Amino acid sequence: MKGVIIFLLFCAIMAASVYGVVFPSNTQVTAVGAMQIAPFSDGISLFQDYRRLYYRFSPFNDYVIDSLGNRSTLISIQEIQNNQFTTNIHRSRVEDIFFAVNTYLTNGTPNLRFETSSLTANYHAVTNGNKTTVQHRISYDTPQNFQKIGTTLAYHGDDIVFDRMQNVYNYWDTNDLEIFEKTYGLKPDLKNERLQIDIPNNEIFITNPRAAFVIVVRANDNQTLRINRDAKLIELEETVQTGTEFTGEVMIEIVQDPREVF
Amino acid sequence: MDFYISVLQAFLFYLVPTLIGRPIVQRILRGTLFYPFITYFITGGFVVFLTALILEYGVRTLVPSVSFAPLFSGIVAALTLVSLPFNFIHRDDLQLKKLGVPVLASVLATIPFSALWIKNSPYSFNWDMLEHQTLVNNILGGRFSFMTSQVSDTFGFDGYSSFIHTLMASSQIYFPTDMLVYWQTIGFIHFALVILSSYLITKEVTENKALSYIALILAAGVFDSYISFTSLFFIPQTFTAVVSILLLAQLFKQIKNNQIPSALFIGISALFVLLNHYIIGVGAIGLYLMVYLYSKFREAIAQRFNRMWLVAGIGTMAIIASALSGYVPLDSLNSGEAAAFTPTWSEKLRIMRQAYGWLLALIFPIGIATILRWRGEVEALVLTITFILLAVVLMQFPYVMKFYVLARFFVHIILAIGIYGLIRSMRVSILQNASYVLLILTLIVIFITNAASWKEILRYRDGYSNISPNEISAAQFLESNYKNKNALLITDPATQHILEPLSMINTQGGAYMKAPTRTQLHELITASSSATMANLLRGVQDNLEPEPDVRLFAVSGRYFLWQYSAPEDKMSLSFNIWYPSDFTLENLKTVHFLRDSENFLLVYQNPTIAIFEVKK
Repeated sequence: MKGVIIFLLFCAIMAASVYGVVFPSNTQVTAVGAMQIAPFSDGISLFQDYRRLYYRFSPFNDYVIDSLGNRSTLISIQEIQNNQFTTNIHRSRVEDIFFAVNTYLTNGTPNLRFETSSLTANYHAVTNGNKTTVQHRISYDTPQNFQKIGTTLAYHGDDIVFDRMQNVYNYWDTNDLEIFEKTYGLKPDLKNERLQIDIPNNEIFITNPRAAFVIVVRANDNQTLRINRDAKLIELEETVQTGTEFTGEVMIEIVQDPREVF
Repeated sequence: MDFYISVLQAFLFYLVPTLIGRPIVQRILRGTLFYPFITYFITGGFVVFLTALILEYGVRTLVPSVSFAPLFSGIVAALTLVSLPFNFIHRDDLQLKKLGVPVLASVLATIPFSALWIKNSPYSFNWDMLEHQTLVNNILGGRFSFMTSQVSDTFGFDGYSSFIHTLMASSQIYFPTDMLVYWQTIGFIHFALVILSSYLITKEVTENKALSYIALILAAGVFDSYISFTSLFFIPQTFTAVVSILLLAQLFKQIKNNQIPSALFIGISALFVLLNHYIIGVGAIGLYLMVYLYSKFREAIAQRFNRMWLVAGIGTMAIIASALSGYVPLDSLNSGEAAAFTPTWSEKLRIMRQAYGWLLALIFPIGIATILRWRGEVEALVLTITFILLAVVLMQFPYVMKFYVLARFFVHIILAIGIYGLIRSMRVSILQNASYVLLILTLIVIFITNAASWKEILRYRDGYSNISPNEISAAQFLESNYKNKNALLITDPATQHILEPLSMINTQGGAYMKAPTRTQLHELITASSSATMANLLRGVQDNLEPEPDVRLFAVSGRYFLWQYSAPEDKMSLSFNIWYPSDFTLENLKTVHFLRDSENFLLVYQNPTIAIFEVKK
């Protein structure tokens, strides 16, 4: 009996020892080519940490369009301001330790869950080399009569957003365009006359003068790919049926030079 | 083939001195040597170092035209060859069987933890290897001095002699070395030796194999990942610590067998550890003398003092001294770079948790209580040593945490005693075996989280590294095209630190670039023209090579990140861009500007780095 008690004490000491470890600030960071992807409190983001450039998939931006054509984000500004949602990020130290070990050994599958009084939104990223697919599943308690859902990727005002036809949809400075042209040997054709533009070929590229990467966003055949310059969002919109569960996904590839995929 | 040669050369670092030293030791030293390898290594090491010293300060003083490198290489090779027949004939005396099982266990323990450490990490994280290899390259190129600062201006402070670098040079003389493979391999060997020496000293202190294997497991699973870096970084302080611990293990064994080490042996050993790291060497000599003098006066001490009260008294004084150290006014000492290496007690607590979780805090008191219950003489001595060393480590003085390279071996003895005491008390073998498994799993989890958080800032593409393949390619270009020219490479400190040893092209100070050079580099970003930039670069002065024929200027993603940093950071020796970075479009503006100017000639470019000649 004494031996069993000491064994249990030993187990408790080992468990406590593990509980005291130091782990990375974000325990679900996965490499995607030259970038990383990880869950944060406001969404799953593609990023290069020291560049301070984050490209976010978030229920704060993802949207639904109802039968009357009204568009609303999954989590409203009011819900955000009143903290009327929860996430599963940094819920417990034990979970963080598990994620830290799992991610280190297996590269992991970053996942994030948002909950409000009316919905649950699950995001996760499945990565292979320099490609990742960010999927979200939105669940409601009651059937919803939505016509369309939109999966979004937020970009930055000084990003250069373009397609393989060399149409440029967003840029900040003409000097940036000059170096873009010089570096990649491209002849940009400015297409920034409208705020919302549908992108042909279901493919769009994002880079930044401060970035050492190019993000390639690809839509599947069911999705309409659009740039929303007012909200600085890349939108992938698809038609849905009435129901309680809706899914969407974005396919991403990270390259160093867009000509790698031209 | 280069890979296997470089692996072999890493083993030669240990083999060459051992082979050279063995015949000498067998002839001169009498009596049983319990761990003869360490004596052979130290003796042979001195022969190699003395060869270099005599050549440089004797032969070349008399005949300056004599070239150091070929003579040194020839003599070391000849000594090694001459020693081979003796070593072969007397191979049965090597007593390999005695250490066979612990050596095998150490190697087996090294493998999984090394695999975890290097996961997604193609190159060694030993940042200091770059400056040490720079010094080795200089020695191989014929520039030798006792003082490291006289060989390379990367060394502004002489914290050790060039002893270890001379030994490394003696292992790299035979074939061209793939530096990164060499250092990765020597890191593995060092790791195995740390584990083995932890086993051996625990065995000599406790005379308990099971307990010693617990210390072996602890040595494998714990990486003190701040300042000391004992197990995973092969650097002078950790090398000196391993040698010192093996000497102490031998001393404990000699004392138990009523043997006294010879004055010659003590003198040579003390000089060896001192020359390889002055500060750790002094600490190691102090420990050695403490154990030696205790063995001589143990009866007198036992008559006058109660052993356990003496331990408690010393421990209490040590704690008080450590606590009071925070009130000593040493602002001048703790300023600048030193302040970055003077963690507060809460920071030290975090450092402890990174390496141990709560294991050390929970088991250490149990180890102390077990020792007090056992009342073992040697264990009490070890506890006293541990208290003193920990008190030093905890003091609020800069760099004292370096002493954890020594302290950790004794801390692990205490931890092993605590763990062993608990497991032995279980009495049921199935519970005991389960406990050993649980201990190993716990250490694996602690090691992984330690590695993950340590590497966090070193992400590069799909792995972790200080160095990028593109920087290595740039270094190969530089070596091929500029090695035999009197060239000076100028770029940010970290890139200099990396490119200098890989390319063998001189830089001003490597990562320890002097303040005037930093100022000149800083002024580049506000330079109004390429002519102004070229003039600033021509003004960079290297004390060891003041008149280069070619000035090379390298810009990279890392260089630009350094340039964008705060001015006070750029002037600091402790601030670097530790991770590689590729060019951005913004960076390429500058590259194109320089390329199109009349003051610079682009000679090399890849997605990470561009190199220019500064036109005269």
